[in-house]
Amino acid sequence: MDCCKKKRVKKIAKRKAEKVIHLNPDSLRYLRFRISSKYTTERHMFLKKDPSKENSVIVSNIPSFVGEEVVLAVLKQFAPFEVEDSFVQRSSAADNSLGQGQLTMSVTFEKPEAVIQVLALCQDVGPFTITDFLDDPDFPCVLNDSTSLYKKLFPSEEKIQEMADAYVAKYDTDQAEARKEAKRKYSEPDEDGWITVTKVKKAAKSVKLKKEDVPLIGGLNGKKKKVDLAYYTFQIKKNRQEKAQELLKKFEEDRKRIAQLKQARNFRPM
Amino acid sequence: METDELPEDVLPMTNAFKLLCEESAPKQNKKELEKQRQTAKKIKTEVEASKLNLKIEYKNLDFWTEHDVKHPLHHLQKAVDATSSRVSEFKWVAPKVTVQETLSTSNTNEKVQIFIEIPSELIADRDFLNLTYPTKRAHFLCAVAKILEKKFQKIEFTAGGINRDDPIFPDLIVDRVRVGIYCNELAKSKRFAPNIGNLRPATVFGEKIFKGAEIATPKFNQRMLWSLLELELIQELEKQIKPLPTARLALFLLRSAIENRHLGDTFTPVVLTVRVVRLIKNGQITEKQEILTVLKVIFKDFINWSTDEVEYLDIEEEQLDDELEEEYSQHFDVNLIWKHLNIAGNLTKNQMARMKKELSTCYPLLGQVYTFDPIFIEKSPLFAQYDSVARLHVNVSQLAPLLAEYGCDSVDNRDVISQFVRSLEGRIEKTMSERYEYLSIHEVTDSSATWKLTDYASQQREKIFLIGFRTTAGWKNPLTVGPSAQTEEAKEFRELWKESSELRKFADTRICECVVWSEKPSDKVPRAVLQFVLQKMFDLPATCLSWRSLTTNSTSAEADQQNEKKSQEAVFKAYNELSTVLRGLKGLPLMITNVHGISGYLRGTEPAYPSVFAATSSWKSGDMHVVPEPGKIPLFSPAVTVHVKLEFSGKWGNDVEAIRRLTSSLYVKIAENLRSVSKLTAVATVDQLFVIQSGIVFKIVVVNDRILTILEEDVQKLKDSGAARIESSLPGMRLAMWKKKFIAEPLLQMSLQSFSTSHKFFGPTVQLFKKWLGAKLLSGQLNEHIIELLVVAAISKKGCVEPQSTWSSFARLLDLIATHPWSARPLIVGFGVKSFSEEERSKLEEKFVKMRPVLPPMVVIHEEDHLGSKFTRENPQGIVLNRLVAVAKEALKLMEKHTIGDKSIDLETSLLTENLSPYDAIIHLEPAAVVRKKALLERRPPPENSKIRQKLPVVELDPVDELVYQLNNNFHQVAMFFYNKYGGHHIGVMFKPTEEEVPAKISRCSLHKSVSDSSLRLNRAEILEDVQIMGRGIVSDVQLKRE
Repeated sequence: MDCCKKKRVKKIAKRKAEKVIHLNPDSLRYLRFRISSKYTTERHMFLKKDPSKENSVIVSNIPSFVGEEVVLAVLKQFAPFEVEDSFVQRSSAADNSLGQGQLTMSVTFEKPEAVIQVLALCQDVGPFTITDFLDDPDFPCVLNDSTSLYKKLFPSEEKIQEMADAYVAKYDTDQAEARKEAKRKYSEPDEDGWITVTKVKKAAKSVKLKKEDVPLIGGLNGKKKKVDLAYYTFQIKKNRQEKAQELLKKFEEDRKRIAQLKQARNFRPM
Repeated sequence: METDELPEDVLPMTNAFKLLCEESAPKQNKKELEKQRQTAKKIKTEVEASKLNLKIEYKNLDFWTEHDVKHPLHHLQKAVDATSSRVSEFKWVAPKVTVQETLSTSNTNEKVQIFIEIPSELIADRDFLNLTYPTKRAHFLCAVAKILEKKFQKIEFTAGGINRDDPIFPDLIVDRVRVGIYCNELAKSKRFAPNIGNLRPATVFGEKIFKGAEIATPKFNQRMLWSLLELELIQELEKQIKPLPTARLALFLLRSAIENRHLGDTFTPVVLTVRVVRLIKNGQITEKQEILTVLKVIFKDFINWSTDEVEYLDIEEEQLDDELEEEYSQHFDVNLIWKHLNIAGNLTKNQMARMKKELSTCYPLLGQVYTFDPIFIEKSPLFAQYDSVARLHVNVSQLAPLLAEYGCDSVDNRDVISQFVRSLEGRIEKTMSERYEYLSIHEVTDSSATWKLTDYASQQREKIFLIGFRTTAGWKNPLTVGPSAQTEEAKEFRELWKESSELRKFADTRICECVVWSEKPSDKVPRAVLQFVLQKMFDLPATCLSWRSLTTNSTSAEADQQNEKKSQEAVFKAYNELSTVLRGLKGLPLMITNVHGISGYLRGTEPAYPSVFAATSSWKSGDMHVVPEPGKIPLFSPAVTVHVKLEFSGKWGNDVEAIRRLTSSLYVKIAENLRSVSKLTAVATVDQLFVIQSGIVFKIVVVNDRILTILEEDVQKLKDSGAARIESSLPGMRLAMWKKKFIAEPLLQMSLQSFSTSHKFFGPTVQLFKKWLGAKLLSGQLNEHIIELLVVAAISKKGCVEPQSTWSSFARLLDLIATHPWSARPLIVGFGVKSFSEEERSKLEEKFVKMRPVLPPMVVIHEEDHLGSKFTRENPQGIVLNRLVAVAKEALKLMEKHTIGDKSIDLETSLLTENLSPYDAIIHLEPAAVVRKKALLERRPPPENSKIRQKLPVVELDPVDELVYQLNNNFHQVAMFFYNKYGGHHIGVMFKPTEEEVPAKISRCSLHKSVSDSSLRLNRAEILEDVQIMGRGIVSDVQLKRE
């Protein structure tokens, strides 16, 4: 049954091949497929010419468990062109893992006409059944995945110790090497005859004092603090004005705050 | 409460507070006021000018029926017939009409009142006896109604009296203007002193019961007196308060605070105004005081309001003699006298206690800008004010045997019922006062206080009340302890309890009379006591009282609670043992210095589903731990996380990975040590160490501050190199993550832990909240910490008396969720002592306003997160928050219906019912996959001296959690998934409406199929098929509900 189907697909493909002439190169094309004889929902893969690369098509909405090879095999079914390169560009999964979500891949053919052929024919063929292209279909299963992940979390204690020892040993040698390298750097001249000179840290930091911390007795630099006293009438006036301004500003701020509170009180989005 | 208990003024008056007060003052609706003035003027001219030709016997109440007005005392014809008067003829005489503005003394709608004086020629000198005066007054009112009927559109009778609830002394409402009738000349006010009887019960209820009885009628006297003095009092009050705008504002604020707390029924505008005017007369409130000072003076006065002394409105006025004062104290709980009228005569001790408690909670917060709203504006539902509520249904026919007692001083059924309620309150006080702080009885019958002219006044044969208790620690006490045996009091006690008490010997060798209700403390005890009071002391049927609590089936609910409590105690005990073991471990390269448990199980905030104890397994293998078999779902065992810190060492190195490896080998060492020395099951993994102590699995994680230093150095290096946007760089994110997980979370957990020890009902409330969220399929939408923080916020909300039970704290929680303006204000959570000061709050709010566009929908600020987005960054999304608010509102409605509705429902069950109808598709789960549900078989810890070492079971593996995570990961662009973590058998799927039909673009084609050249449609079947593929073993079926 399966082989009949495949044959039929190929036939259709060849017959249609010559009809293709007019096709908007920027349009979004689809390819029908389904997962298996058990999971028969019709799904669409979407194909589009890659505007940045002449020989490439972008294929999207590929379930991650279908994989790159299967897509190539499907394409080969109706457009037997040599593929130069193919890779998965991205996944729609939230964590961007290529093992999850719907994938988007790029397929680059050797010849540019392959792109036109693929796009022209894809809508007329299929639906393909994915399991036909897989010897041993391996669908994701949350239960199995999580149990196997759980197992991995429990390596034997010897192994933990071993891993730790190995890493630390390596780390120690790396550190030693780095130290040696550094020492060499500023003791022996390198190829060009240079010696790296580094700044030597001071033994003790001087105590920094903030302005307020300056002891009262005369201060450190002996200057007297200037006392800011309004003496002239204009100074008094100015001070008063400034104070009033400040109060006014504060009042404005308060008013704004209250307005916000009031607004929030009346806020009923539901 | 004494003055010195109140904290002294710390906050000075700020402009902001003043502004707030002024802004919230009622906008004087000048138009409305003018309109009412006009109406009043018109009424005055109409009444004064009218020449009604009317002459009837005053006992002829039917006369008005012919004229389409029903005499308000029509149902009391018999009582009226039993009266007598020297002036038996009633005719119309043009009266004196006074128009009085009542801006302060009445509720906000009635700005102008009209007082009509009954001309003295209609009144005889002994008309104050029995119902003569009320009948004549009502006649006069009918006449006025008849006169005004043609000129005004809307005229209705309304209950009068000081509380506006007295239908025997009704008023008229004419186009929103109240028209009252008074009579100053009736008698001298001392005629109405409480020791004098002015109403013979036999006139009302017939000679059968009360043959020849002459009894003092303090209540009736006060009602009469009010009708005499109403105008005079209101004039005096308005005159005093009018020149003090600040006092008026303060009075308004006080009134709204009182009304928001559901105290307005008894603390009426008149009572409040009298109290404030008293302060003005005392000179404690003056014209020049600031609003804050005035508010403080008023609050202090209310808090110190004495219930023992007889107080006067005018201190200088002549006081009553001691004997009369004694009479007043005997008949009334609270006495505030003005010319023999006790203005506070309707207040009870319990209401006073409640008012004082509420106001003293608010007092220290006066002057703060951010607590203004909770004090003066926000209103929470009635049932959320009490820790325990019951619904009382009284029918006057049930009270018939008690009529001899309650018929005195009563005019109609309403009076009988209210006297009964007073007496019930007193009896509850006598029998169970040690169990509660205060109680309140609210009438919930929807009795509208106004009725049409053509209607008979309502007879009110039955009423419904809500009894609310603020409970104390002794609420569930199984014993009611009486006085020592063989004393006079003991005899009284036995009599009170109808000989059901028995003698008990206590540890301190006292032998006391006791009533024993149950073996153990239980919620059933207070119920039994109250039932005893109603049935044995009042002969009422058991059905008239029904308790409204979260569960009706209290036996199984109590068993559940006990189970949860036991679980929490078991975890806590095991944790303490383990931490002693860990601290005492010897032979390790570095000593353990610090052990810190961080888990909801430790404080009982996580439901013990299926159990806190580890599952036992029969899996045979040499390993110390069990791994899940492929395709099989293991039983769920929770793990309690414990953070430990080690003594300082300088040898950790500068590489995070190296530290991780070193730590993992340390886990191995600790595990070996625990196994050999302490004989515990211990399994080390790379990043943690699992230990079983007393049957409970603990996950031990070493927290190394060296890692923090390294991460900080990395970030510093990045900063030094001139990089911008440190937060989104890898080292920046790692540092933020580490800080969140190992600094912020543990500190927060510590605060929560101490909060839970000081609030016993915190754990059960959080559990209920979690289960409720689950039932609404919102598990996982709120971070665990946020869940607990919301409960803390609801319990410790400023300006409210803290709840004491799961019932009240859960109601407050729902109210908080439903009413907080999430998008406009942050929720600021303070833990008691550590809470934020006013200044800090202002800064936080300011920052919030600036940052709002980049903050998540829900912002919760607390000590460990001043921005408020640490735990709400990803979840909940705006749409989910909206749903949460909506379901909270719905739950509140359900609670309200439950408290006052006819039939008691099992509230918890109804709250926790899943509703699958809103979802587009439903994923049905395999029953075996739902591992976190109530266990059928209780798990137990292994016996202490057991020689078999328990194996480490599969821990924290919940396949449903995993599935939902993967579904969200795979389909987050097109659908949302909702599930119930605690035993839900369904996952609800909502497809995003925006993805339903999208333009044909490669960037949007995921999970769609082509329908035309230009558009793509969401391929629902594809999504659901994928769900089935992924969920093999977990998902039993997938059902698409809507195409």
